Amino acid sequence: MNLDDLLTQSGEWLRGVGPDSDIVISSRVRLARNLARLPFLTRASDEQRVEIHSEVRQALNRIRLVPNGGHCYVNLAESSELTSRLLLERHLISRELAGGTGGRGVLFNRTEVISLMVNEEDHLRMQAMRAGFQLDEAWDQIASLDDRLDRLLTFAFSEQFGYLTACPTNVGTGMRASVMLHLPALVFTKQIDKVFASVTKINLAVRGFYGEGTQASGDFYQISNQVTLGLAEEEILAILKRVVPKIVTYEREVRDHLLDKDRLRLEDKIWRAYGLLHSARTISSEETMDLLSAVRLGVNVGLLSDLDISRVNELFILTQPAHLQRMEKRPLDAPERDAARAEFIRRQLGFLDPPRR
Amino acid sequence: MGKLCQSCKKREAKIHFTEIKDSHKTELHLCEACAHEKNFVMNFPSFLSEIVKDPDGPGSAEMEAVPATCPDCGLAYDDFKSKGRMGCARCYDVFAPVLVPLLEKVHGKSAHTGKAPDRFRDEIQSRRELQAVDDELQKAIAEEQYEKAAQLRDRLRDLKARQGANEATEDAEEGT
Repeated sequence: MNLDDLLTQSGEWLRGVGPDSDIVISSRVRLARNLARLPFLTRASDEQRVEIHSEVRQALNRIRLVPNGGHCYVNLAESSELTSRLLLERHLISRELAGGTGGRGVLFNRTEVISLMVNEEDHLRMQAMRAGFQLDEAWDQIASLDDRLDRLLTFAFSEQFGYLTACPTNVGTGMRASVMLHLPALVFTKQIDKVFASVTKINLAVRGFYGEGTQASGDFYQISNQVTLGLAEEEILAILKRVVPKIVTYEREVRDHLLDKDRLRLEDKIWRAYGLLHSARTISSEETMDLLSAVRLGVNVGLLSDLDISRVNELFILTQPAHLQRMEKRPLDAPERDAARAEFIRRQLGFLDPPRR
Repeated sequence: MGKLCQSCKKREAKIHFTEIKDSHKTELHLCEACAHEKNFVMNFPSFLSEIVKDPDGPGSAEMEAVPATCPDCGLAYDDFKSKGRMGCARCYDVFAPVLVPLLEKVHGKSAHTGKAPDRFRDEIQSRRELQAVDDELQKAIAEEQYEKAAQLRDRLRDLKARQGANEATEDAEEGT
């Protein structure tokens, strides 16, 4: 497979359907690992960095990522900035890896369920991302990959502190489990702060669509564990499995309440968003996220029944700047992107002729 | 354009903080330049050095036990304190006296109880087994259940003997 394959569709986690996927977009489990015999990246020389890169890549070549299907390795040191941005927009790499320097890269499989970053903050960061609320499935998948890599690589580990990581906030399990939630009704009714207050009280972190330091956009929120040490992986997952269904229920109750008691205001918001996406000839990324969020809500509560939810879901990623530029096969400035975005949305949602691909 | 930066009131706010302290919430919206200037971008390291300065944090006795640099990677303790990053696996041992209280602040605990590499698995399993019986024993003693405590003490002794024997056989097997 090659990078252009990424443009015709989005990752399985976004397209696919999973448990509670009307509200839980995706479940992700990430593990951080380092090679025992080489220093962490902040203290590694250029030669050591190359050594880490090639040792980890060799191990990755020897294991099969998933039972079937192709995979793709992108060496970011040899790639354009646009490629980095494209991978970032798809959640295949982090900001840190995109903005880094020197030998580093990412391996992912065709469905984009598994991605492994080499030389990010740690030597190896591997994640499994599943559609809907499937934390256990994501964990099983990444734990088995970790077991297979453990036979080929000697990971830094201490009996007391567990897996050793560059930053002590990740030490122990090295695990970050997170779920991405779409909570438009809680935002619309201004209940969202209550959710945050209670979630942060039990040591869970809330982040935006693109992770650390990003503002929530499109009413998407990522909830993840902060504590990585002193709890077993299953105990960390259990906390999220206890909390997330409560938030999902809360969002559903508020949606029902709106449909029942405040229907006109809800319909107005959804149909205005639909109308703007239908008619706009130029549109910013930020406005797109807001309007798509309302339209996604409309589809999920049954008000917009003629739209395909996976097409709506894909738009959150495919309308991002690097995706638009890859599709148009040329660099676009902001006004050009806004025009290309408006047209792409109209095609994807069937307001124009079928998409030319 | 979104919200304006609260500091310079000129550029667009791109970095957003929500601090919740004693159930009181404050929000801060800054542009990248002002956030950098105010040192907000890397908030974890400054948080780390706050902890290290904290009167409840590591005392002067712990600090003295820590060498100035890691013998393996050469990371200076001051560097760790200001940037919050470890340099290599060895750093965790070398800086352990100051690290343990820090980890307890961040994670609430300082001992790993999760998954382990294959090469550690048997060892860790034995240790956790012993720990579990010992915890029970301490609890029985605290609750003055002396009969139960005696049983647990015997079990602990047997377990230690068995694990010792296992290790001896393994060594012998490896020798052949």
